[in-house]
Amino acid sequence: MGSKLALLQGTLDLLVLQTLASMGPLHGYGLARRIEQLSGDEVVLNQGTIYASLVRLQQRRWIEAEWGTSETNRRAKFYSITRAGRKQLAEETSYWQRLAAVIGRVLAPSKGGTK
Amino acid sequence: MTGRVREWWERTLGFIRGRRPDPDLDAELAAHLEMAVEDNLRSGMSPEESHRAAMKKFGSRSSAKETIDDQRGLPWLESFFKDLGYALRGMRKRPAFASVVVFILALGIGANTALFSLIETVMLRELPVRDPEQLFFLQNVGSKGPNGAPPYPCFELFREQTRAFDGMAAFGFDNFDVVMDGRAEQVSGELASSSYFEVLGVKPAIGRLLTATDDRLQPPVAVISYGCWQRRFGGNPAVLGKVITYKRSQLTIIGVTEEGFVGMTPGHPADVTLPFTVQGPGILREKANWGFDAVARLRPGVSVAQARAQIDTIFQSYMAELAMKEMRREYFDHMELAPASKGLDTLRSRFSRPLLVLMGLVGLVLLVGCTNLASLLMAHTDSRRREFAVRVAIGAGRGRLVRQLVTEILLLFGLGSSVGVVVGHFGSRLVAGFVAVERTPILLTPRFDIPVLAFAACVALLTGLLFGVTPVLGALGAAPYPALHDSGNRSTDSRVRMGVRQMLVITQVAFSLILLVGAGLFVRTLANLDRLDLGFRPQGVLTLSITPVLYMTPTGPSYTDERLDGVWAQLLERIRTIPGIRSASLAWLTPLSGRDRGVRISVPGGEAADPNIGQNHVSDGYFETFGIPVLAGRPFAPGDRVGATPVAIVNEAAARFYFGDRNPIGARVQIRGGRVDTYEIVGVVGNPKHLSLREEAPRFIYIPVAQRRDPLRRLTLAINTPGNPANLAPAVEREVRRIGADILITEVTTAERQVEASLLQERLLSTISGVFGFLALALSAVGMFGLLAHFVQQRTAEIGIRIALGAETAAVRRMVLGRSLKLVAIGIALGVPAAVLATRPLASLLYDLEPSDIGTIAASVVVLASTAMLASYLPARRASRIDPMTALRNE
Repeated sequence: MGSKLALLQGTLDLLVLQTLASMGPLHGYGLARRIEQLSGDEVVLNQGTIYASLVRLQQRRWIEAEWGTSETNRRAKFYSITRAGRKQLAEETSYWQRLAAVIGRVLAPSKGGTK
Repeated sequence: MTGRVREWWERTLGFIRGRRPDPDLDAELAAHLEMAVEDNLRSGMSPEESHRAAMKKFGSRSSAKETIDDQRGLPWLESFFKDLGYALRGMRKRPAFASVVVFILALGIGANTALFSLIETVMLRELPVRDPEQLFFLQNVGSKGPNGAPPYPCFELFREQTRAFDGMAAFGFDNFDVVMDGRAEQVSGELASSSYFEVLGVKPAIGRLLTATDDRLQPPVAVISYGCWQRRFGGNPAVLGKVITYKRSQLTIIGVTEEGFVGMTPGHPADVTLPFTVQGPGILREKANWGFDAVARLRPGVSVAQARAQIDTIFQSYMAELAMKEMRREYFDHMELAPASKGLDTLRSRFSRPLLVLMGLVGLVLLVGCTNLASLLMAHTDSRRREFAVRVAIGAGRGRLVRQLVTEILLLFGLGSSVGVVVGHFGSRLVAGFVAVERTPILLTPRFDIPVLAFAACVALLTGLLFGVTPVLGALGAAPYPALHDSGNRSTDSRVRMGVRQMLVITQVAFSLILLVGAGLFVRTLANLDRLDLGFRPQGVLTLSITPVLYMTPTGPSYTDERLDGVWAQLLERIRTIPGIRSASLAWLTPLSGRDRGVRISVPGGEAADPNIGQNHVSDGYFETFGIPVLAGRPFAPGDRVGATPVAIVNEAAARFYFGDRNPIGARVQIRGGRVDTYEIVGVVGNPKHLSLREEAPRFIYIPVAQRRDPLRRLTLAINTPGNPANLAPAVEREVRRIGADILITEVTTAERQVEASLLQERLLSTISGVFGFLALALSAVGMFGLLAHFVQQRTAEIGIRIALGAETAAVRRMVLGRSLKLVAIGIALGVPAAVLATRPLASLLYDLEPSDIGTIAASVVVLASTAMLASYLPARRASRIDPMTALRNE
């Protein structure tokens, strides 16, 4: 895999939700770092774009934000997932897994078929 | 799902709040960068490097903030409002252009909306009753077309013996002469069987409506309409219990129908509904009384064919018993079900064709106007290319520019259409007023409801896309970029656009020609009818319908037939004393009043081919009053009274038909119809038109009022005066009232007005088509002028060179005029066959004229061509006055 993966529409929202669900409250920078680490630096991520996603998720009441103090004693805004967010995450996760499975099935034989 | 809804809600709120600086976000992003820098420092980068790497990772800060702002609002709506503001500023900067566009659209869309609202009123609107599509009229049909319902006994059989219907009601429209609150008046109304309101599913506004036992008239009751309640009784609930005196009955008002329902005859709202048994109990038993209509509600699941078969079987056996040979096939051949959802179709059958013709007409006008608009918009866009180029150069995308232009056009078209809807509203009122002038006024109530507004919106959108967006985007061309360094005048693009504009002008000329030919045909039809010999002289004649109202008084009926004879004699005597009256007379029928009465006669010397003839009762002085010439013998005289020899007069048509070359004077004829009477013919008069101007004057026999055959409960008083007849009306009415307060005076009008009313449809068509024909002509002239002016402007340099090289003024003018002539010639060449085709369906609306009348077409061509030449003259003159030096310097 030479180039990095471009994120599909809407997947960033899902990554944010998943990260917050597994890591607990995080600030924007921490979230961005975490996503980069988890994805093994395989995705292209302008860290700035994560904030539009955070605004959207807040508008949908799937996450909430609160000012707090970081590990380095800096004032930062911490985001945490809400109950509605967890429900949404569960739904989307199963959707992604089903989709991935289907696409995998469809693509697999064509590889063998063309010899 | 709720998450997404919340998001849109928040974004809408954000949009309303507007964009504003967000220090909270700034602090958050700053913290992000600082943490990133710290991390980088910790991993051993130099301070500078740490900073650069952090910035790189973060990406563009301004674009991040913009995405966040977009996420917090509705960006496309914001840009739409920005475009709108820009478009409004543009309109203010070019008020002339904007007002021309709005004016053309307002007129075109206004006319179309007005016509559509009338078509909806007359042809599409359903009765405000429950499930109107289940309702059907039960009609007898013969070779002469559909009729009303069969007599009541047969109707009763339908009701008893079929299972196809959920309910059935008999009804009939009529005017009632009644006494209400001690005052004699005429009200429009319906007679109805007691099941009427129940079958229709009409509910009361107050009180109750007719129920099953009301047919028995114990006690007699009446129902009034909501409109009558509001108008006549001020909406007072105390109306319940008031008494209406009608003939021999005292009817108590028991209820008011719900708002909106005005009976089964569109255009003729019924104010009062009475049980039809008030006409006398005999109506339920009369086996050959064909005086009413029947409406039935089809049972769900039963087909029209099944229901028809059931009632037809009953009808056929009823008719077999009735043994009615004559007229059987023509009128009463079989039963049919006709959809009743829109009410009786008198209005529809009369106005559908003229309305559709007018709709086609205003549609054409809209097209002509829109071709102008398209041409105008193209020229306008063309002249703004430099502005667009600048905007593209400073960074507006092409998509953004297109969106901007579309917004501008939609604003113009939206504005024009909105004004158009208002114009249409008043236009439809105007036309509705036009038709409300007859003896029984047709009351149309055009509404601006959902279908009409939807129609206007569709037309506006379609014209906007076709004639607004398309030409503008076309004129914008593939790439606006070259426009900056090129003035854009001689590019191929511009040539193509000129070609398109020429085609638009050609189309316009062709359409205008169709409109002119149509207008010419209608105007000439009206002129032909206006020129017709009426057979009588309407000038100076005032007519009033006089009805002594019949009702029961404690001493017996108000007017017995004998007492009536006295009233008529006394009336004439009194009226003739009024100063300023040349002659006065009474008549059962007057020309063009819309009333008719037929009898059969037999004349000595064998059976005539057709014994049917119109019968009129007239007093002495009648022929003089109406200026009907006495061709032979004498007119009626005061001596022709009861006891003297019964005398009659025939018109020329009757004399020729029954007597040929023989002299009818002195012949004794037998008149049948009711009973047989013998009259001696004493005179022959001219042929006055009777029901319509288009029809030949029918055969008529006249009988003196004093030697009447029928009871005369109503007569028309006609007065001839040298002055203005309308001025005489108050004095005449006063004199009539002096004879009896319960004498009803209705239909006060002049004979001239009745002639005019009988030409209503022709006048409507010729006025509207004339106005729009003229409009189309003006629009074509403007279109031609605009095109040539643009042409001359574009060719300024070329023309300058020609003039510099010695071209003569006349030659330059010829060049411009030649161009215009060519376009007009092509337009006319296309327009003439189109007009011949388009006017073909008009044949039945014309009089003494073929749709493809050569004279009319030729005149239209001449008018159109000379107007176009006139419009081309100014640009041609300008071209010939171009100063070569200035023209070349400007290049």
